[in-house]
Amino acid sequence: MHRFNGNEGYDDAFLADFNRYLLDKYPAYGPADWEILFHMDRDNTLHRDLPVDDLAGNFNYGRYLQKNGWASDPKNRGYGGEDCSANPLAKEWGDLRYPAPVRLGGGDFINTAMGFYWKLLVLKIRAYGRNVHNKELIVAGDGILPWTDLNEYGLWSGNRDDDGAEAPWLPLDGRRDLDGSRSLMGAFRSLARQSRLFAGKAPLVVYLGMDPVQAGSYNGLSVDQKQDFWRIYVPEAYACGLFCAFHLRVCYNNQPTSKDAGILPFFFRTMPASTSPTGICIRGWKIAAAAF
Amino acid sequence: MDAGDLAFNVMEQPSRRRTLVHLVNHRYQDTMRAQAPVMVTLAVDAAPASALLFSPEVQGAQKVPWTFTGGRLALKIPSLLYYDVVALQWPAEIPAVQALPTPSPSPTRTPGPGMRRTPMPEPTPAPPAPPQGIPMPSLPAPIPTEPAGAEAPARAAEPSGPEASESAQPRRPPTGSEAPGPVPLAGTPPQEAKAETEAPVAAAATAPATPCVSQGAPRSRRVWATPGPGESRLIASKKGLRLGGGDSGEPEVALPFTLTASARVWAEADILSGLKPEDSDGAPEVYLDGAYLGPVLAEHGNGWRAPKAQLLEKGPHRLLIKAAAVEGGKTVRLRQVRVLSDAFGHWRTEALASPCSGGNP
Repeated sequence: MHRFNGNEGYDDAFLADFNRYLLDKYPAYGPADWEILFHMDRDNTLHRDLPVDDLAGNFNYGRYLQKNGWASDPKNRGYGGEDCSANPLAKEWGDLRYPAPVRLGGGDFINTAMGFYWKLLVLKIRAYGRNVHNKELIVAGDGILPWTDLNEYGLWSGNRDDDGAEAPWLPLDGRRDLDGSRSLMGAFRSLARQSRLFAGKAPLVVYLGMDPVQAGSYNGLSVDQKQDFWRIYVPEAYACGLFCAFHLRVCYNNQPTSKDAGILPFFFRTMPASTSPTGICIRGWKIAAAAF
Repeated sequence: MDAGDLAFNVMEQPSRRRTLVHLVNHRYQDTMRAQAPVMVTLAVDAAPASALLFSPEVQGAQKVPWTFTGGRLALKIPSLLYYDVVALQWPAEIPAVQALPTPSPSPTRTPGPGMRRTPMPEPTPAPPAPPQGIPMPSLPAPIPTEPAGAEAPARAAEPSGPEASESAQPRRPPTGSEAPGPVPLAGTPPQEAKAETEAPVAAAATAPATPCVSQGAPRSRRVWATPGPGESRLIASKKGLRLGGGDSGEPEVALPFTLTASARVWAEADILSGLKPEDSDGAPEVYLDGAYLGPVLAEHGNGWRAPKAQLLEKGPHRLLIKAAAVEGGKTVRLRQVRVLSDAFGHWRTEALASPCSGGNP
């Protein structure tokens, strides 16, 4: 069984698009340039006089990866394949970061292509809902994506969310206790800026990513510290224009649910009607609520 | 008082004529420790109609005592446990916040859902911080209007609205021993301020100009004036654009321009018709030298501004506006598209200090 690892997407349509991308990006390059700079063989190189989707006559990136032994690690991530760091086209193809904004018009092929196809995908989904079912579909993205009605974004460890630096989304002190003296507002502002840049007015809902590092830290906090975490950092997100989803449960790693951890009553208790929960209203539907 | 144990943000809601001041407590040592009271000052152009406090710890809304004088709005928050929001309701359009509270991290205004954009694509430089982060003292006494001997500021306004009665204590100029808690303005020695139990959120204030009459011929010099935050320079513009919608509009419009020096550049557009704020699919898309600036969506009125400026090198560049690739899309008419950059500085003539310019007592 194949497990998604980010090395997908090398179908014929993408390979043809990659040819178009390279030809457009390097309009003056000829066969010698392709060979010297990207190690393309004479029998598998780019031709301006052939259709970009002629993968038998024009360049075929899949064949190129196989021949050089990079098919199992085409993005130079450092595992599998032979001499996996040597693929000179890996940088041109690019990589997608998760969770990440789709960098439309970005400096590599995959981000440029995904930006283009993502918009088409969203438009077709909406058109399908309107034309076939006479319904307005709400499109939500996992990440900071354009053209959506709503985005959600995980606050994971190992992130680059604070203007390129890692944001300690679960701040701890030396004793592994909650360090509530630290503000994360700078990082939340950074996310809010990115959201405005890429997703316009689509609301962004953030949630605490329960990767092994953060899950271990969070589960190690006392119930009081868990409560303090939500009472401090949900308002910080909200103050920066973001919505924050409480952690209820995850479906993996046998982690305790909020009910098991004893935090669930707090979530209900802190959302009385008098505090006027802040809902997200999209296209006339109130679809989410996140409040202190 | 360490200002670092309090985080804040200021947001605007133009449709509700409201400014929200969010305050989050970080005085945390094993458990949260309340701060009471918390003083907040904002440099704004007008007095609010009301100031209401919302908090998870408070049932309903609570009136906040405030005073407005000399372009400074002072709010006294009774207590802060975890989170307080002060909603400032304005009688007319939201006045510009000239200076924000200054605890670290440095403040920026962040647009939120339904919020108005900041005036600049990038966060503007923070205004100069007052020396030593001037603390706010206790406020059992009135906030004085001016230091003794100073002229009344031209913009001084009386408190108004429902809160006026709460803050309408008699105003007396501080005379040192008489005023137990004078708010230190610029020029006031910091040691005069008391800040034992307060959480200062800062004051960015300037003393009013004092008149000075000098003798003899006027002296002056030319100085290089750096541009202020928000000042911009028009580089290129194009009027009357029609994009998309079949034969009636262009598929794309280019605006070539040349920079004589590197600069931070962004784009703006005035939308004339064919596009509503919620109609994101049909929005034209803007590229600056291949970098995507975003869809042209009206966020405030009919104006659009690129959310981020690009640092461009000296030389030729191009702004490209592409019609949206939507089947059956409407023609979008733009009144004008502009390319702007940060303003350059300029020379100006400045009068040299005269013997009496050291300040009146």
